[in-house]
Amino acid sequence: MFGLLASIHVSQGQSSQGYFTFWQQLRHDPQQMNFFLYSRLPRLMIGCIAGAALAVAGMLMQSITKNPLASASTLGIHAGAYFFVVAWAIFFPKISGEFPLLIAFGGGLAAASLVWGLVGRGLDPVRVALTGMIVSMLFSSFTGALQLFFSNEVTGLFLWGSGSLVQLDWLGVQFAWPWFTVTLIVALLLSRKLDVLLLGDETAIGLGQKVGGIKVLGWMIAIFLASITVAVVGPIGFVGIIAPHIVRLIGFRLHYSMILGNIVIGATLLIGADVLIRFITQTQELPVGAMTAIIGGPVLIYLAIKMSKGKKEQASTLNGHDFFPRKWLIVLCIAAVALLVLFVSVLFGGTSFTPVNEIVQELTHNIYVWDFRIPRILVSFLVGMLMAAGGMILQSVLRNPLADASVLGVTSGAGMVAMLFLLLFPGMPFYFIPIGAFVGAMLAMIVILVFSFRSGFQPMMLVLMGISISAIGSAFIQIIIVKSKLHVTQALTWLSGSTYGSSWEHVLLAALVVVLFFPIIYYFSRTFDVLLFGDELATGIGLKTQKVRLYMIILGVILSAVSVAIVGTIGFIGLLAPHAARRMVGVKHQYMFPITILLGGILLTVADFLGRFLLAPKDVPAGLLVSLIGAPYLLYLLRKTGKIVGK
Amino acid sequence: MKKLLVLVIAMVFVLTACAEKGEVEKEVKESSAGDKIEISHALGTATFDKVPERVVVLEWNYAEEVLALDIQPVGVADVEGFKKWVKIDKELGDDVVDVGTRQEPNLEEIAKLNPDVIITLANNHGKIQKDLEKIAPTIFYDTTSPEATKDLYQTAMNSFKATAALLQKEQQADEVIKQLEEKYAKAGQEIESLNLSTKEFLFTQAYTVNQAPTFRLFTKNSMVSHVLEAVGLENTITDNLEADWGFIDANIEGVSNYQDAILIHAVQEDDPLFDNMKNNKVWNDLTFVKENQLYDIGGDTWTFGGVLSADNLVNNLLAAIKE
Repeated sequence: MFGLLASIHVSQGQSSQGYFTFWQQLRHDPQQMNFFLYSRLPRLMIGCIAGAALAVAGMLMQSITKNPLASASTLGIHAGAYFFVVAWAIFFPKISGEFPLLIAFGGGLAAASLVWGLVGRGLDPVRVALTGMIVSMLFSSFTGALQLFFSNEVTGLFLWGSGSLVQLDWLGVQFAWPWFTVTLIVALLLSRKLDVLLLGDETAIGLGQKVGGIKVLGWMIAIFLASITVAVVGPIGFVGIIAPHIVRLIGFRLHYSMILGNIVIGATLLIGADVLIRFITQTQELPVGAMTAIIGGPVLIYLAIKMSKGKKEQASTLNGHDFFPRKWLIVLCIAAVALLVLFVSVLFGGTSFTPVNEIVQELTHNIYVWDFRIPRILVSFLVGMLMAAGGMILQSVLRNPLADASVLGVTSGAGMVAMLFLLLFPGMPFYFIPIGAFVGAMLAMIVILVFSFRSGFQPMMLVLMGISISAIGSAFIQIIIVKSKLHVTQALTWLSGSTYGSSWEHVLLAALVVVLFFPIIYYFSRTFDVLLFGDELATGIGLKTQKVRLYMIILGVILSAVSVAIVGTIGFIGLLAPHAARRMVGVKHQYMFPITILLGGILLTVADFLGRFLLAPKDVPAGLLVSLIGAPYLLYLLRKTGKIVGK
Repeated sequence: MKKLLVLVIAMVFVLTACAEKGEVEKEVKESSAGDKIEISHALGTATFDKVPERVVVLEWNYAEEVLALDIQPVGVADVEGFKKWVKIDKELGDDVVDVGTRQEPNLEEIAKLNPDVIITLANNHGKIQKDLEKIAPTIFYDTTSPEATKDLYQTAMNSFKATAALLQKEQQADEVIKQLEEKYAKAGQEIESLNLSTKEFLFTQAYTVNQAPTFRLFTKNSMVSHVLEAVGLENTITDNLEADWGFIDANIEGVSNYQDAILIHAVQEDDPLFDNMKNNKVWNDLTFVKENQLYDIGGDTWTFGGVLSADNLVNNLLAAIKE
């Protein structure tokens, strides 16, 4: 199997005519021989090394943590290592080529400790994977920010960012294989001791083993193996999670044989992915990471569902605080803040502030303020409100503090289908994207609901699924962009989430949705309160919970889809705003709802303002700014909900 | 609830329908009725009461065209980038205002400049056509439609002539084009006298991605290829006649398909491309490397420009080949 894949792998290249011709020509044609020896074999070898390293690293992590969802990518180690490498290249350009392994290792270690610190002792598999994925998001948004602000320094790193096996000569292999071999030998020597871990900590300690030391050593080996791959081919996900499962499925149980098995399976998987990706396009280099995400995403979802089966972690309660007894007063205060934010935002246009005493003059005489600045600010505020309301509904209905269109993958589903629309109907004007976004959002939601229905919409499960869907979505988007050569610039700015170019039509659409739906939501605020307390109680007072739930979910997705259609894939606001509101006034929707939407509006308006202000006259996409705040907040939330569940 | 859903979808449709664009036309015409100047462009028609003086340009190649007509634009998108990438004989003045990125130019900054016309690329800014037209009549050129891609040199000349017609500098434009063609003829004679081993060329703009060399190979429909053929060389790539932007992507293997030609390359000075390939056996075995048929025309040769870039390209080519 591996041999066949490898022989296909080396036959692929821009100057070859196909599998059989290649092998026929190879002996007679010195040039094909050169390709074979100096560009395709190194690529094959680096693929084998990377695949094997990832698989073994994943296996070690899984057996140390007894967590079947652990791997270098799900624990954030890849993203951390990559962030360190990029930051190193930017801030120390002179010595950027030196110590790549050390830097990557440092980053991996940092990410792993972060996940560790956040998860604590519980080590619930789904929770560990989830925290790791969010740490990944955190580091990726840092990396994204670096790439934006230092675009000149990092241009060469882009493709590598999703992992590519391109090799020019044997240097990469020469660099990687000694480290790889030595580490593997250490792992093999250690394998008997690792077997002891399978017995469980207490038995192992009883047998006189130093469990702690073995674990630490195992971690170091795993992180080091992952760092080797990041240093030579960039972060490639999912191989480390799938390969160990296949090996276990085959029936290997002891570490010695498992390590050997993982080397073979890991290499086969990665080479297979590389073969597939080059079937898609020969002329352009597509990152192999995209293919592993497409294959690996669904597997991760499947595993997560399997893990959580039988274990009924009830949806956690959404508790809030009653900081302020006079609730309407706080609503008024937040409204005042919103007005202030809007006012400051209105003052800034182009590259400078309008002095306060001239603002009336500006508003009455400069029509461009009305054409460009005002609609953009209004759209930011209105869409912020929509996102916040959508998030609130989803959180309340699913009784899940982590629900939000972007966290659940609805947003990226919308983005993916919108791009697909562009691919399928190339003549179609750009303006049809919103319909695609709407369809995509609905599809993503249906998938999520169908798969998580049985597990009772468990918070962790939902989010893990959402993140996997996002990974698959962005991989597809990458492929679509390369394949279709569509109007890339417009599509890309829309994808990154931008309030740029908002017009009065957008304001009108957003305002219409607000006017139509917000009174309804407010009217039903009692129903939301009841839904929060659980189905038994709700049914007890005569509510058809299933039906109401479904309608409310659809409503929440509509709000989110409209937002995506207007400003693109901006995330996290639906997560942040309701949560912050709950912290202030508690869970009663009568008060929570107005505060939620006001906070949502404020958030996006501030992001939009900063985006216009920071690098003026250049624009920073609001979506990037929001995710810089959003990802850390998500981690914080996760830690909090962990405490609640753990109680 | 269902009704509401339908309503929202309907609204989305209405809005998108409103925003649908007009027909795409390519020809340029000037109406003789009155003093009005009418220019039809990729996304419609723009009408001017007088000859525009204050010009804002949101895409580099059109900024170059305006400079070729001896007019300084009042605003250009990404001035810094223009100065870095577009090396031509005429320079942007110091008082030209930077109006933000080429992807998302700052609308208020443009409006502040109070331009008479905005010139830009349809596929970058078609989305904000309405906004731009609120500020000033806007000309959208298109370099990516199937029609434009057929001959990108002609497309560039067309937009140059159209811009000149608008700014009433047609004579100067004709003069510039005439000089350019004379230059081709002269350069052609010089190249003829050099007795190159082969007339076939491969032109590449190459750069390094993650240590790996990536080659843009310019196809026959590109501006570069047209200029080089005008001076008597022959592009060795004969397929891919309608490649987007006029080039195809390749790695060393892809390049090897054309190794019997001479290789003319434009690589940034700080790019480690050739260092990386120094010990690469595949590269060193390619015919044009073995026979030393590599010609460096400088990484600062702008390959997506207009008349001035074409002029510059000829200069750089002669300098490289004579060496």
